[in-house]
Amino acid sequence: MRFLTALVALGLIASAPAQAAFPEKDVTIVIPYGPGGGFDTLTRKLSPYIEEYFAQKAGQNFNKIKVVPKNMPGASGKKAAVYTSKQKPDGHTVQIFNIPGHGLPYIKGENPGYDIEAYSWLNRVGGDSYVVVVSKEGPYKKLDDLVNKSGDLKIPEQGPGSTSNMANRITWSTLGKGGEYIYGYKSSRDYTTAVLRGDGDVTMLASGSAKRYNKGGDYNILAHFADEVDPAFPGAVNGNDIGHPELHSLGLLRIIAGPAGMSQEVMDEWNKALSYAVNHPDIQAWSAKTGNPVKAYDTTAETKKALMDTLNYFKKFRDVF
Amino acid sequence: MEALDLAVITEAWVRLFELDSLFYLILGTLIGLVFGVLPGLGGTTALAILIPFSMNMEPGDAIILMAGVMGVAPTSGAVTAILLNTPGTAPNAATTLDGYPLSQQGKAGLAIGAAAAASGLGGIIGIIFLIAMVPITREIVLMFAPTEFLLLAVLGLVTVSLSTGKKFVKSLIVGLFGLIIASVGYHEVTGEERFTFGIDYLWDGFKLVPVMIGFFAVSEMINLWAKRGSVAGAGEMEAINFRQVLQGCLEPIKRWKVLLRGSAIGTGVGALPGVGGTVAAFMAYTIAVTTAKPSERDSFGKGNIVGVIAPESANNAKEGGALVPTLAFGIPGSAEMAVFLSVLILHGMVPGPTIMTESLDIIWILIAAAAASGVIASIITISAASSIAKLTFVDSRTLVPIVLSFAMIGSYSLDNEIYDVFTTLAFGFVGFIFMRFGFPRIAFPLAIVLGPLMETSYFQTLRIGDGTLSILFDRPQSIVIMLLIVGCIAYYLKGFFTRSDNEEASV
Repeated sequence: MRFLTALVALGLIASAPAQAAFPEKDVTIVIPYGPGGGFDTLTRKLSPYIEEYFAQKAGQNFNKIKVVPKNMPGASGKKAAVYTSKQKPDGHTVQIFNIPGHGLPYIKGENPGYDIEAYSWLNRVGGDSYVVVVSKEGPYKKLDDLVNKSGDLKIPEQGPGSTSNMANRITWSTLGKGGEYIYGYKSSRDYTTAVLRGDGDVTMLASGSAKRYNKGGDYNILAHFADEVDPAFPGAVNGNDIGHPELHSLGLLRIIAGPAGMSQEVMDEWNKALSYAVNHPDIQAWSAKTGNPVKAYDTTAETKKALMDTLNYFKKFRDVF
Repeated sequence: MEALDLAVITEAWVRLFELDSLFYLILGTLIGLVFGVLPGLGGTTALAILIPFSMNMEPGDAIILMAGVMGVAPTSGAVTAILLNTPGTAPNAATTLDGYPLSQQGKAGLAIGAAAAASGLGGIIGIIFLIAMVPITREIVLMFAPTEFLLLAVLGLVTVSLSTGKKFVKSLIVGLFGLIIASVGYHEVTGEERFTFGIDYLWDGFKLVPVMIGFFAVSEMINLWAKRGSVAGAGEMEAINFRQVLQGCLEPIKRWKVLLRGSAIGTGVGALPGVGGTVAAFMAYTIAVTTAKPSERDSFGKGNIVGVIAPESANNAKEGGALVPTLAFGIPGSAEMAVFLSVLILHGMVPGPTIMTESLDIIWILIAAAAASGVIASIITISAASSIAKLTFVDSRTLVPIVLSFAMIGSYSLDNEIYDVFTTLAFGFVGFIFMRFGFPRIAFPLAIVLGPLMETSYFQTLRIGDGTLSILFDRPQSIVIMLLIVGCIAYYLKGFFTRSDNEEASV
């Protein structure tokens, strides 16, 4: 019996360093944009649940690990990505990435000062598909009405290089329709309102945003590029219906990643912590209520594969950007 | 008129006077006061810092805490603007133009009293406008397209140039300099980089706050150091007493037309996304100058109390206006509102056309808390005014290092960015040079804020109008703004010629 106790004690001691290795201190999640946007909101919402996971894992006799969201806006997210790439790969500094936005230089073959493939990709915390949005009061009732419009479509947008601009350019070039982009709107909310006001004909949005913005029923959603059309968009077609199922690959991802060179153990720990937070009933309830889709993967390998699939899909269209 | 349900409104006010609500309201107000006084740190920073704390709070309490901060920061920012020529928040820059000369004359108490009262009253008037606008928020937001934004930017630049009177040409030079500075960085419409010289820091352009701190505060400190003495060199310390402060409080009431006009401009400009408090304050100031009697116009910039009342009432009233697009469409009307928006979403509320039906109780708590915090802030500021106004008698050898330290810390703490400090220093010297050669500095901040708005709206208007600007004449609201621009020029020219005649007659 004494031997058994000693063995158990030894086992505990032996396992202690592995447990203490990560996290040893507070962790920082870099947000590449200012306070108030979708990335900021999601990171701040998830942080307490990541803390909860670390606390449960460590037990009660452990200093509580804090998860600190840190805004680092600048150069459309480039500043934060460069910063994160230079941090120690010990898991204590990670970042929420905007994909394909952060991958645009990779897609275009440019060098932004960071290598998107080299980061340690941990887990997806959000992901969404695109929808085509028009004003309910406008003349377009079906996707064909837009395609058959004489002349180019006028499309209010944030700016060249934004993720929704990439989605628009791929969609309309696939459908053989020209687009004239009205740039300079500050946010997706802003350019969607521009469609309602009549500044332009159509724009594209992430499906979660579309649900949020359309609570008052101001818009018609004409297409939803996903394998299954969301019931919230009655009457919308998908890629299968129009003979372009490849448009379903037009995804956008919110992924947490750390600097290159993180150990697989630490990466797995992060993967589990993020899955725990994302799948927490509170987060799922909040997600359903506010239209902020949150989804996680089971492994870091799946996360990296999803990243590369998305980037390589966009890369095929580099000439239209 | 479901939005104006009396039972819900009464319930909100009753809720506000519960003990825990009052605690959060006063806590928010005090935090906002501190952040407002420190240069560079404003309501936006305070709100961002409070987000994690608010997450575990009940939504109503979180909203009250946030509303406390939002209601007060612009008020306290006026104090340093008046005393030290250092705007606590960017919109307070307009208050320095007449507030600081009043301090130099030993009338800091009068100016702070007037600013605090104008802020409090302006805030309340803004809330009243907001309440009136609640049922028609949607229509208001949809009425303003890029066409109108383009014309509003032109209106702002025209009025500011005209307000400088005889220094019109010098003002234009300052304005052009501002436009050049505003054009630095990545251009969101063309996707090109301008004047960045390969420096990463310049990719996002110059940030407003470090530039403002340098241009107004650092330049003033250089000037004060060169002059020696104290801010209120010519004034008498004994003159600053509570009576002077109270006298200041009565000024906005005596000049109720200026107060109402400032508040209306503040609410109107606040309701337009992307324009913000700085423009509201400067527009109110320039319109006050333009519409003043020709004989009074020369006293602006030299310590005219109207030059304090107009921007301060507009600056606080804009909070009410900025809530319109935030609540109705989820489009933030100001930087503070962008952060506030995320607080709403974090608590599961979805801003948009349906928020008025789904979260009406919270909206009214927010409105009640914002109105109350403005009043509390004014009372605190008025009570402390005569003591803090004595700062203006501190010798420059003591004052300058302290203010410069705060200016640098404020600038750095914005984004923990050392280049922001260099920006502040550089614009400090530029501002000082403008001062020494008698260039009116007012056009600079407005050009910086309105330049990008004007350029983007111009490109958008061209695209919407198929390559021409003819749609400017198709929309009634555009025509109204064009008439306002022409009216301002005509009104000013009329005053200019009248004044010339009088001056000639008196010679």
